[in-house]
Amino acid sequence: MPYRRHALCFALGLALAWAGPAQAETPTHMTRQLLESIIACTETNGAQPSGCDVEKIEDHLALAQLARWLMGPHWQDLGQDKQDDFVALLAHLLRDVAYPRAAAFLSSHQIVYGHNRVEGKEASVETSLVNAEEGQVAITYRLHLIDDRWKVWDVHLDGVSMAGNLRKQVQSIMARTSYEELVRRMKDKLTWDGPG
Amino acid sequence: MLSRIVLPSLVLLVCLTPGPTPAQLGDGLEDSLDASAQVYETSRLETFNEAMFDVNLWLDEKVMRPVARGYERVLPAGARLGVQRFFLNLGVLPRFANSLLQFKFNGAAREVSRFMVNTTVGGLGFFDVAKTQFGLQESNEDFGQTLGSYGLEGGAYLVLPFLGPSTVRDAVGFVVDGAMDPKQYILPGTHNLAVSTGTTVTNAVNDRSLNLELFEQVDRFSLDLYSAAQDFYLQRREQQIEE
Repeated sequence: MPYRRHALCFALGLALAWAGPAQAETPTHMTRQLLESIIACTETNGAQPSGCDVEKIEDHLALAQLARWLMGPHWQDLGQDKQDDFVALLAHLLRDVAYPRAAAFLSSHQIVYGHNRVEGKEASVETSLVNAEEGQVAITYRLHLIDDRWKVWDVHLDGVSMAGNLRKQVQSIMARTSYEELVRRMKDKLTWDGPG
Repeated sequence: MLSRIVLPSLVLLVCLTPGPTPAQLGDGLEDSLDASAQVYETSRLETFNEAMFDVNLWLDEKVMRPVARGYERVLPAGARLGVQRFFLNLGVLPRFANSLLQFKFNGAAREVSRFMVNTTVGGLGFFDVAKTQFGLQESNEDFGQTLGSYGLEGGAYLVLPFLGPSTVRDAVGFVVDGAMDPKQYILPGTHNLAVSTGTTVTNAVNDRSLNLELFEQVDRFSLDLYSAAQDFYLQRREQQIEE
């Protein structure tokens, strides 16, 4: 009898666990989905790009939080309109400049997923990109838990934080010039036609 | 040549100037949002650094890039990679010594093995047989990293003429590593000057020709090239010292 009771309690516990609040998908799973979505941007139908679902990519990124982080102490001074404009411009820049390049790079390498680490609302996923000619590149993705979903906000390339690098640039421009100059430079990158 | 005249004076000059400590990145996105940390700090050497940065960019645009493009047309990529590996093989002594100084005995042993294998079987280092056949990776240690591993901070950020981003600590390291070049103790003065200049220029042009696209990509993605280069250098060095 006691065994049956234990078994019942165990079954009930399991059932309650299943019925509990939905758990966030793992950081590795979310990173894998993001990379697959980016790689899909290399697919073409004739000369036209196909398979690139920008909304799906952005759904895996903590864009609004990243924009705020990049601005740091200048964020509050911007006001709501400029904050919204900055997030939209950042998204546009990533869409036009970063995703195509990342897609080409990722699709030419084999992606090997390594360890992932979770500490509270922060997580990291280690990957290695392997290419016969170029060897191995270590890339670590940093994720943040937002509304019960892991979203990528930084990429460490051989130990160098890309978001941290961009943050330094943004804050350097903000400290030395103005928000308008920052916006001008971001828009310049959208119409870039090669080095001067 | 450069290491004997320009660098010691620069190092003396900047050693007297207290430099900024590179700002730490937050551990997580949320922590940093709350802290609203200021990551940009001006440096007293900023005017000098920016001027040097512009000089280096000008030199690159007017001299290095055109020469590297011409060199790229003459020599196929495979041969240029061979030249890069040859120079890498010649730089064994500082890597070996700094591995020892950092108590990385495995790395020091790898450097000796790599040098012996690549100099003989690898045709003076043009082929990296040690890596491809025996899996022996180079131990990329320099004296700047050695000082860093002993706890010495980088000090002021510096942009050196011709050489690019550095710090006071790494500039000192560069001079010390240069002193480990056996050529200067073997060859007479004028011969050493000619050989050193020749090898330095060839190595620089060869490396630039192998990174033509990379440089353009950096330009393409940067909103502020100066601070991007500074941050990239400081982050990379911190990473190398941690390793």
